[in-house]
Amino acid sequence: MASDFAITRFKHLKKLLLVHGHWCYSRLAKMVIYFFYKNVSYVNLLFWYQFFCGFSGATMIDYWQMVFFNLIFTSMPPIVFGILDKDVSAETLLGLPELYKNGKNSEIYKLSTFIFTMLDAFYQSLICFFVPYLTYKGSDIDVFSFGNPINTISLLTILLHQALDMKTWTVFHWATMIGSVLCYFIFSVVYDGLCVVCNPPNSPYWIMEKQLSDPTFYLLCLITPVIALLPRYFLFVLRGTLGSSLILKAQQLDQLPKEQQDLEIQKWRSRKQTTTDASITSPACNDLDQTVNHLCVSPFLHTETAAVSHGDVNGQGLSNTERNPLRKWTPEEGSYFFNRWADATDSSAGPFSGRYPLVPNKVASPGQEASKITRDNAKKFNHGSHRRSVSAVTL
Amino acid sequence: QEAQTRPSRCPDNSAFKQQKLPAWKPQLSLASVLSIFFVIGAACLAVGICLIVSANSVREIEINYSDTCSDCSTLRENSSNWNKECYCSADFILKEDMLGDVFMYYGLQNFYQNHRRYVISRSDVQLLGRDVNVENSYCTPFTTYENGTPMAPCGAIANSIFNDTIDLFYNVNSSVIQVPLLKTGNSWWTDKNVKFRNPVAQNLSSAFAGTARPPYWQKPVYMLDEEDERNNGYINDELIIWMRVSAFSTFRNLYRRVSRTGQFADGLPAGNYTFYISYNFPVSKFKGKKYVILSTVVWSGGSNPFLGIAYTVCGTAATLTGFVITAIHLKLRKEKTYFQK
Repeated sequence: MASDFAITRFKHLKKLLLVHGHWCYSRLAKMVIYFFYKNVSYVNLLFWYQFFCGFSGATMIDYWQMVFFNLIFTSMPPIVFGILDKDVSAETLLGLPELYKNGKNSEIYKLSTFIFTMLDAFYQSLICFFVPYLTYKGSDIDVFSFGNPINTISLLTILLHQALDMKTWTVFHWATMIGSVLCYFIFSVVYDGLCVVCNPPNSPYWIMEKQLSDPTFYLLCLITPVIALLPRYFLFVLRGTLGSSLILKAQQLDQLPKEQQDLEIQKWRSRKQTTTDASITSPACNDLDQTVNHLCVSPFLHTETAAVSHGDVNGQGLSNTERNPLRKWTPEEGSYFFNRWADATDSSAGPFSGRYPLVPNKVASPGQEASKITRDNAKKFNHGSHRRSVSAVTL
Repeated sequence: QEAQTRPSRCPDNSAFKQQKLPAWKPQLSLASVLSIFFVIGAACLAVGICLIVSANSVREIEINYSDTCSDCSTLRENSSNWNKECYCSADFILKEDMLGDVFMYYGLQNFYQNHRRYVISRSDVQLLGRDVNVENSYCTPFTTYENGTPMAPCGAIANSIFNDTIDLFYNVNSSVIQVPLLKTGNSWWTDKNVKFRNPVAQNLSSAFAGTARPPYWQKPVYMLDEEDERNNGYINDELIIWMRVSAFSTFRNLYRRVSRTGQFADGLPAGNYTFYISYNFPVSKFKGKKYVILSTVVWSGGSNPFLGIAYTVCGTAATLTGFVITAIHLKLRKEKTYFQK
């Protein structure tokens, strides 16, 4: 994901990273995985039919309906999703900077996500093919009258799958969803009503109209998307009930009224702090002005993110520190970052390097590389150095 | 000098550009999830049971006659016997009356009408009655003979039309009554009146002048039904139904309907029946089978109970899942979660 941004103030950086960065990652990841799923699930329908047509390559879906399926009928909802969907609100993202890890750790699109999505696509294509097949088996249905409900069912399933993922429904979402379905039916009715010989050799004349007057078609179109999506919905429900990921909690947090949100965040933070045996409070808090006061409870003082960023700097991979995220809080890093933020907001000077140079290794844990500190940065951290020597004993 | 105010390059403060559009945020709350599962479960169960009951109310009987008419099928294995007639009888007993409209189908097994090359082997423009050169159309190789006469209709689908003749006789009190059957009104109205049209001319045989019957046919297309002008030529019901290629290798096509007149006004009474078949269509070479099927119909289709079973299973699964979720929720309610509602 290459993205170049130019911002005029450092304070914009916070929203850029925490809010827009997260949204961008989440939207893009979900849209990409959805496109994979959509195409696997649709093309597999043609594959399953090969078992019943002697592997001759016959397609039971009309050619133009197939072409427009991906071009028109299922193209708009994922685009609207990719532009507008917000899985967590901006306020919560700003209030819980821990959520930034969600993007760093690729939590939305991992190999397991891809594998499960492909399995889900196979399962859904099996259902979308075999339920109509077993319904019409041995009857007098013709090839394209068989392909028509399959195409319709697949469209409804794919769009409902997208609908299950959408977290915010704006007017554009409603319009594209309902518009896609309407567009499909209107196109099919018009095309099948007018095309007697326009698509040689198989023109689908009157197929849709005939299906629309058959109760079996409606019964099929109601039950098959339900069967196809019920497991996925059930897994969502289970995840919402039993899941413990931070992003899920943040989404639940969004539902609460504002005052209760702040209360819950404080309660959660204090619960985390007591479990990490933080022995040193943050005296530095008192030294700074109000604008950075809320940074007292910023993630950079917390074990997890501190451990993670420590690991980053380490260059030895995250395995060391991630394995025990609840290890003792290292005050030197905490106050280090804290002071750096403090200096950054105080002086609002100097580029944000993105790398956190380490303090010289008087208190370095074994195996840690002593990174270099640039000279001008060294000046800035002098006023924190007395705290470093004090904190050495606690390690 | 006046300070020139440059136009602001900030995006508009509209809801769309600031991503502050009003939105509905669906959440998986307990009430909504449980109501969805239980409503789906109940509705599917109800519909499923209705469908199973109606599928079970369909009366159907299926007779395999390609196996019982073995001498005819061996005769037909040799294609030089094409002009020899072969008749065959298949007896069956109806234990119960078949009340209502009774439909007679012929069924084929292991005949792949859905093969890709077969499905495209037709010319819809020719079947519209227009003058068209079928030489390089999709009908190859069934387009023209060596002397250049085009085939009417062209293509492999029309060439392989099902040409058995099946009659039904009712045996009662040592007399044999032929059951009256309707041979028209079996195809789609749009097929008969729009998609298939005869070429226009004084009479039908002159309309098809200059064309020849396809190689596997015994009679040319304008002699398919000489009794009924509206069932002759391209608009013959049997041809239209055969041209609607079936989706699977085991299929049935509507052949006749029982005419509800005289003794059969209510349907087919119980008793002894005989099918009298003129056996023409060879199936033994590709290990196919032929059937005759007599069946009533209901609003939900035929005797296939699968849709009802699918609804019932889905309804049961949804209801069970609802109970599972309720159980999980009750168990977890005692533990405190981080963010409580």
